[in-house]
Amino acid sequence: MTKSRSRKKKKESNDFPKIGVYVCHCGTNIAGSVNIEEVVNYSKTLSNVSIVRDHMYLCSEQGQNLIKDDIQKDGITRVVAACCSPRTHEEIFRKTLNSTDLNKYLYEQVNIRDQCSWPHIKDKENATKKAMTLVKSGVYRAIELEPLEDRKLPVLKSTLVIGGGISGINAALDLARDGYKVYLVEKNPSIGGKMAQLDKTFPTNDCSACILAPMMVDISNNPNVELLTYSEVENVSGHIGNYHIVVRKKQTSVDWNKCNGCGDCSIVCPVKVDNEFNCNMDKRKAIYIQFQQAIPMKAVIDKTKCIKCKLCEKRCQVGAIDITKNDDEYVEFDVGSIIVATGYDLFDPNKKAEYDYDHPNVITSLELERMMCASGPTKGEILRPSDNRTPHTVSFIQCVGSRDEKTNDYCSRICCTYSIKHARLLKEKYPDMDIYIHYIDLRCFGKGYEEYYRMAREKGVKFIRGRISQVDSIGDRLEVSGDDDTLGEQISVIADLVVLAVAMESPKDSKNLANLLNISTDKTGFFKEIHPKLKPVSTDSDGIFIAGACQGPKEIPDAVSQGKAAASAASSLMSKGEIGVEPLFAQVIDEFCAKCRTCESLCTYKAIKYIEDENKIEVDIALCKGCGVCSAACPSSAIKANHFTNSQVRMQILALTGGLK
Amino acid sequence: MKIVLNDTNEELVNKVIQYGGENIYKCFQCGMCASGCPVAGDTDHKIKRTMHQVLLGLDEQILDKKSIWLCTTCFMCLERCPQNAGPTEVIFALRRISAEKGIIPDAQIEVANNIYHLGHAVTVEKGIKLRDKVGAPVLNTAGSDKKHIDEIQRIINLTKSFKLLKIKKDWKPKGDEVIACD
Repeated sequence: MTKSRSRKKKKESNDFPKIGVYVCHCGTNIAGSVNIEEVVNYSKTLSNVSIVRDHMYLCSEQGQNLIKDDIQKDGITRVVAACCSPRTHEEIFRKTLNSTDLNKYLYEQVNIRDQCSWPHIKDKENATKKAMTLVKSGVYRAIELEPLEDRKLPVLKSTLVIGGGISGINAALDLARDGYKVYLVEKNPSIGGKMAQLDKTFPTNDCSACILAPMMVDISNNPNVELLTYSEVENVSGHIGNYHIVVRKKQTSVDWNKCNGCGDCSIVCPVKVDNEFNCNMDKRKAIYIQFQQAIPMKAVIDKTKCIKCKLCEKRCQVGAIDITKNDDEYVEFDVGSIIVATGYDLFDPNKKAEYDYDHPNVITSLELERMMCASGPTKGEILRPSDNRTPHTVSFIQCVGSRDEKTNDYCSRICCTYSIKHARLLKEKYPDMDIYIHYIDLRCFGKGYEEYYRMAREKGVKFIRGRISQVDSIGDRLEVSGDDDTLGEQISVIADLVVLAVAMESPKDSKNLANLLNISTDKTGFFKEIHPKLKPVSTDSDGIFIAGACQGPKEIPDAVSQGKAAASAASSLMSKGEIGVEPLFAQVIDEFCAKCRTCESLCTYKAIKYIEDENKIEVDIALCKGCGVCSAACPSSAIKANHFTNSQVRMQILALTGGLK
Repeated sequence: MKIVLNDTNEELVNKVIQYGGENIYKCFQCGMCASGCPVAGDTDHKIKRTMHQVLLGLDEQILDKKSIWLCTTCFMCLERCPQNAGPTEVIFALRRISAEKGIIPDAQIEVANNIYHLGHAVTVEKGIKLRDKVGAPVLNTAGSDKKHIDEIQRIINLTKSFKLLKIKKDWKPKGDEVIACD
């Protein structure tokens, strides 16, 4: 119907769009509950549509070539694809357009799968009608689309890594070795994270400190890494390629340039406080070095506990201590990308009152881990806390705070294998020990884990399927009551020591960090990746990546992989020194603008500023995310949101409310 | 009744291993054995549960019960066990342990004595008489010649089974009243 118009030259074709509509079957994902033929026939009746095609898999090379050929041979000037989600496939089809002369922003994707065929799988008739309506809205919008050009942003070749656990260490090392400047921020006095607290690691039972410590040393020796321990990220501003970071260095009252880590200060310190590193099972001093292999090996004064007796100050032979120093220091720097690797916290077992964590002989798995460690509070001996005697019967209770709608509904993934590890190590040290593992499912899914589990059975560890209902104290001992699924009977174990396999949870302050960085968390509080399969370390803020257990429960191999993946993602972002960014920002049309500054106050990203000298509203396009709030609020339509202009949105509404005509 | 797992027989597993069930530890109760068992559907012989009971040392639940004697030793479970835990071997081991304790069902004693005295697990008295009556040729079996029976008795006398299977010298076959597990 628009043949004569379509013959015109490309430039003019913007005024007389010639639309191609492509309906994808997505195998049976769409075709299973949407009548493709009806959608095709209907699309042919829409104004400005000149070609309608369907394809089994539009994103295949063959499918993309269909679109390419129509653009090149038939002069299609707008492409509407009715297929899956733009989240995963918009970029693919934009590239198809880009390989022709057609501007890639003259593409519109209609999601008739996630938003139509899948949710309406049982109602083909209405699903088909909805698909037609959605295609109509896409076509109407496509008429109004305008060509846009990507903007280029410079990218600094430096990274902030938040969190010095195994994941953050790996990310930092990989980037530093590639020549990027890395700022590694850790809230504790030393890097190392939870892994530094572990004794041995599954499935090889190699010593945790022996494999971790050399990496920590590498970090401290690498000139590209600036280590900021006992520090927290205070503020983040800017955007992909250029973030401005403010880090608060908590006051240690010890001059780390002078401190040689001799530890004399903690020997003379009279103040004993619970030692967090040993799960509060022994005491440290108010001035302390976090643990034996700490990096940096420097002393810190716990300001909340120090009584200012100055004994340490007098004792220190290098004059590093000045207890009058109170103020935190602030460090500022700029980076091109950010990697978040803040790890996890452990579930508080007090929330499961039925397991009687108050009883001294009920401990958590990390407490057992510290006991097992030669440098731990019991020097590697397993002693039940009530009387410091070696227990004979030990019960492990799995899934404490995991797979439980009342606490965390997810599986913490590592507890099965670490309890098996604990049981095996106990059996090796104390062959006569009677050990029970009470589980619901044993999820030992990693490479070599099945064999690891088998060896535990061969050592005589007893596995009982069924959740434990309660733990009751009988003096020093504990009655563990449950059910044995295979026997079909109630069982109980009179245990000397009960070990709770507590869940992994997102750190309590991760919500604050998420707000600071403008990244999302999921319902469990863990940071959310953009796509669970294809973009596992990317977040919805470009340039900010996540790695390790802050994204979800993870064992060491996965945390390391993610640290390396995040480093690779950050590196590929920074290597070119610049990046093309979608031009989806707001533009002020000065002659319409009344300078009411409504937009300025509404902008979440602080991208809009009133320039007093010039009496002008200006949008910082590097900060603007193109959300459109300003455009919607402007009383005189003086701000245009690129790619989501008023006329584009209006046409869509018109199509969606106008029925199937 | 609630089972207290502490009070179980820790030696049971080792004994089962010693008596031929050496791969019992490989078992994690997937249920492959029980799901293909030809007798599990109609009897109380649940091999998956038995394996678990051995691992927990619940000897009273196994050795006093008939269920281990209900196994037909078809070897289906042993053939199919994905862990090669050898469930049939475990049953044999349990029967050996059980017999050693003197716990052995009457039917098994019956069979053993039949073999000892007649050379057959099942008596064929009626059949022999019938053949004689109708003039059919004499059956040539292990029991048809005293020489063979002497040989069988000599073997059994030399082994522990004479005592374990409670062989009686003055035993009289029950005749053709059907032999089966009661």
